[in-house]
Amino acid sequence: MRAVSYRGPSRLRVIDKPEPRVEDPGDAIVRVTRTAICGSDLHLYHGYVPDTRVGATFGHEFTGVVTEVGFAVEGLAPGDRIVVPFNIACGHCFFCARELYSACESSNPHSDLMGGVFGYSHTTGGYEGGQAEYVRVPFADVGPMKIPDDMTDEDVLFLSDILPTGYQAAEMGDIERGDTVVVFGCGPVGLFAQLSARLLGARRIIAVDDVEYRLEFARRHRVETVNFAEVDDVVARLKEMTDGRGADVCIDAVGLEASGSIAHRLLGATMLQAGAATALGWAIDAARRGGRVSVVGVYGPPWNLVPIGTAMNKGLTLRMGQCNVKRYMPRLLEHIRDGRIAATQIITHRLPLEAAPDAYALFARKQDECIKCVLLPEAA
Amino acid sequence: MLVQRDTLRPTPVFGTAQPPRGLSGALRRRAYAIPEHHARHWALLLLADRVDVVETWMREQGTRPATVAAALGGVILVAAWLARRR
Repeated sequence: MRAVSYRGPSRLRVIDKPEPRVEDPGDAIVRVTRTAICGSDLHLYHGYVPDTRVGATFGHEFTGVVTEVGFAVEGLAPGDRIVVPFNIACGHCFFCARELYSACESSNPHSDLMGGVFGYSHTTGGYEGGQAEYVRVPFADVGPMKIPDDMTDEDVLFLSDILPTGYQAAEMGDIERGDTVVVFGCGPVGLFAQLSARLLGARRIIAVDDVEYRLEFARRHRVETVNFAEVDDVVARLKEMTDGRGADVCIDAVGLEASGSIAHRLLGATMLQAGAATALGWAIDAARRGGRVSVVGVYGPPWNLVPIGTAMNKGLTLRMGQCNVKRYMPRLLEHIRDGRIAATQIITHRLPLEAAPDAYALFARKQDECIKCVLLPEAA
Repeated sequence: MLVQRDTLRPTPVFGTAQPPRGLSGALRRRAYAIPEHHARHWALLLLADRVDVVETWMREQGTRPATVAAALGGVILVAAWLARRR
């Protein structure tokens, strides 16, 4: 089969690989029909995630058709169309019992940080990802959700990661009716966090980014915007917009590859910290006293420079984490079906799997007004 | 499969994507013997990632194993220094 293969920082190839096979009785083999490039794939692509091995296939957002199942799988059969959460979760361990699927302790022997993830380095379990024609899906009875007959694969593709992640970001902010919410980042997760904040009752939503076409996308959805490249001091500007007090809730939907601070970028590039924590610093500084900061932007080990003293003295509540996708899938499916969330509107590029190296470069450089790339495997 | 030292028991399901190999594999084995709360664990893994890139490139160029070993000798010294500082 054809599959994306990591060759080193900023270098990918599409190569022939052996097709996956059932390795555990709970596995399913899935023919991928749609697979997207996530913003967090760029952290792998740029070499920031430890234990990213040459030859790895990325991809944790995908839909597909089941072609084979292990003998223990009861809920799926060949021919079923499914959307697969990026978390690999057993469904019954200490963490899964608490709906903390991202922390599943049965799927990742390589690290104590988190459970398994498709195509996201050996730090998250060493699983092959979905940017291929076929993929092995462990615990197939637990994570995957069958796609309803009245919905297309693209309708539900983003239930695999970015939509639940954006929703969880807003939910972790404990948004109350009338709140002002600042969302740092207008990438796909940031845009869905803005939409989710509106669904959860926010009165004002302010988006911060420096990519004008993405800010324009946010404005079309009744979101106020700040282009941080056009203001002297983004935190001061946000305080001006919030009566000098700061926002009730700040959401970091950027993570470790933030622009906006030369010092952070320099320290990140020289590996003196794990990427640039610029957006997280701004989120802490722009939140009001007693406010909430929600972090879904991905950071890597071992450390970052973060103004924790400011957070402590302001009495902020910090919540963060990888998304527990399965918990949100049913309710978000209904939001999509009822038209409250038009998930497909963020897709700007549909490209064949063979064009994956170009698609990554396009997405990373934010060229051609790219917001979201979806790859179409040949076998689909 | 490498297992994090702090893990209490092997997980029932695991990935089998890219088994460790060569010098980068040796570095990864050393890294996994160091607990995650030590920065050296992560530094060695990032080093192994870069060595892996060089090893693969040299293998694809048809470079002889002896040349690969010599070219990466400096890396071994750095890795040994990192690994000894526990």
